[in-house]
Amino acid sequence: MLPWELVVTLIIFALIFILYVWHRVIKRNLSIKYALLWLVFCIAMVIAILIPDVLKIICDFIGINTVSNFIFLIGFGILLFITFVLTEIVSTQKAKITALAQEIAIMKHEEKKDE
Amino acid sequence: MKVLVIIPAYNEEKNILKTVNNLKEIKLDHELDYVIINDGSTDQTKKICEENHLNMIDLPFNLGIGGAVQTGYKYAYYHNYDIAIQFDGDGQHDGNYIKDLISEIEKGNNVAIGSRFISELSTFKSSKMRRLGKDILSFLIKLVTGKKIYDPTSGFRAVDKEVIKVFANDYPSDYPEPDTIVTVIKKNYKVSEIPVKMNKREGGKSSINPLKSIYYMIKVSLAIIIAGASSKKNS
Repeated sequence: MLPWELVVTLIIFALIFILYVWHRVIKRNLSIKYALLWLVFCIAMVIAILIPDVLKIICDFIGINTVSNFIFLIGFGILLFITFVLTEIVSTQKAKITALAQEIAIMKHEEKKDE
Repeated sequence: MKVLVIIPAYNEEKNILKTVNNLKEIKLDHELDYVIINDGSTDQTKKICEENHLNMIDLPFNLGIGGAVQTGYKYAYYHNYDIAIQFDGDGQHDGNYIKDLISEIEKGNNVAIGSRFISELSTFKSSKMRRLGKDILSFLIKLVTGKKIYDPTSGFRAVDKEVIKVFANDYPSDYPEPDTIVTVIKKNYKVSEIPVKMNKREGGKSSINPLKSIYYMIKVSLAIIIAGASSKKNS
């Protein structure tokens, strides 16, 4: 168990983050799909804060010596995954924007011709 | 037979009017239409086109050469053109070869490429590094498709109705020439090359620097291999 002062501080940070995500969703700046991703991330964080022994059990199971190494590994992995998904999204969106720009330009051209 | 010349133009205020006027002087036994694709130019290109009533499609922002040229192919597709010819707006290409490209298509080829390196005609000067780059791309295309293409980066090309449809649907966004060649060969279309002379760039800027060239080579090589791998199913 972590010292209770630390637990409270960390929980407060986690709560602020959850509230922030919630706020962005309400403001329609973040779609629910991606908000879920961050909320799952937060919940995992809260579990790790409240019951750090869970991490130790997992560490022993996969053979990692220290919990901190495990956390770095997981954090790094999740971040890599998210960036990959983001580049994928950017690529498909770029293609869609290009197609839109082309169609708009052609449509405007046709309109001008009709005048 | 309806023929469309697609002229992508990005900051070509110095050349665009001359390019179009040269095109208009060419005598052909076909109807020869043209369309300029203004790719978000930041200079006077748009104004010059409007003042001279040139047939121009004005993209809302810069898409890069691939996106601009594809706009032309979409236009050709929507208007039922039989042949579309890519023609640079910077005065590099010589309109007198257009009839040769058209007759290659009439002979039954689906794509005709105006090639700088195919015969003794080619006095086109380029550096050793550029030639090496071109040789590598040629080699890769030969490896992937089994067909030798002498000038894989030539942007002076004519394509028939079927390929217009293919390009209108799917076209790479930057450095599109080499991998589109692979795509069409893989789809079993006939590609031919004819010798052309190209002029030195008149005005406009060339974008050569070592780092960019390396990036270009890696990206295009990868694009060729991917095009080779992904079009197999369609044939």
